[in-house]
Amino acid sequence: MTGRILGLSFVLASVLLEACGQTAFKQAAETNAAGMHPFTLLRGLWRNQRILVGIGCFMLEALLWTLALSHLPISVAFPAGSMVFVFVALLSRIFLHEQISPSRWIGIALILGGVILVGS
Amino acid sequence: MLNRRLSGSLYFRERRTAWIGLAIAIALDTAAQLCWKGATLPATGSTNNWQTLLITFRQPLFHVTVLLFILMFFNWMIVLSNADLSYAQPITALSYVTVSVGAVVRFGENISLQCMIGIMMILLGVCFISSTSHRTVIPRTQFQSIQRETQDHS
Repeated sequence: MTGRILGLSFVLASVLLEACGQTAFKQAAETNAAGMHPFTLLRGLWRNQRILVGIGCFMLEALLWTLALSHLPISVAFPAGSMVFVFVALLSRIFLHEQISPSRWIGIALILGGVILVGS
Repeated sequence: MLNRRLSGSLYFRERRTAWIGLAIAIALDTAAQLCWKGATLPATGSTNNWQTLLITFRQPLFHVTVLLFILMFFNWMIVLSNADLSYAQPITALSYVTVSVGAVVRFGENISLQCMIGIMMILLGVCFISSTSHRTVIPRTQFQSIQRETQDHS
């Protein structure tokens, strides 16, 4: 049982890092014009420092997620990681100024409920 | 709504690109998660976390996982330049279902009735989120390209 609590702690930490990394990636993607050819888009991305912040978050997350997976079965670890949707929505609203409509919040609430059912 | 009024064709082109990217992201994510779990199996029973990491990093399956994540990164940047983060990110929850099915098939893990109800709630949540507009913020660079396109059409 302690293995499960330890595993879920690793999941929580990696989820927070994931939300920060995703926000940084989105900020990097925003600096490119939409409708551009994918390769042009990708070349432009390497000149963007937000990418490095995002990659840093994801590399640290990778270490913690590896530890989480070694303590939990994947059918518990992966849904528990779905907490990321709540954090991503909050960071999207605060830092990216995205409009989260009631439908999106209902969707997030349903996902959270599903995660609790699966994780318990 | 604003961007749909400004340029209908760009709106639907963007939405299509985002969904193709999301489908690829879900497939790559499923493969990556299963490979990653497979790479941790030789470290099962290890009490030392550093030992767990070192054993895992030496596995060929872990190297495949890294390759899949590099591919996912490029694909994901294309998705993010075409849709809101709070729209695209929740839709990737669909890979939850594919990973669970994969875990049952590949590793013989069990899924209880409670888990199944949880899966259904997550799927319903994804439906709600995908019913919203894929973009609520127009970046400055894109606004300029929309203006150009609108001028071309007029």
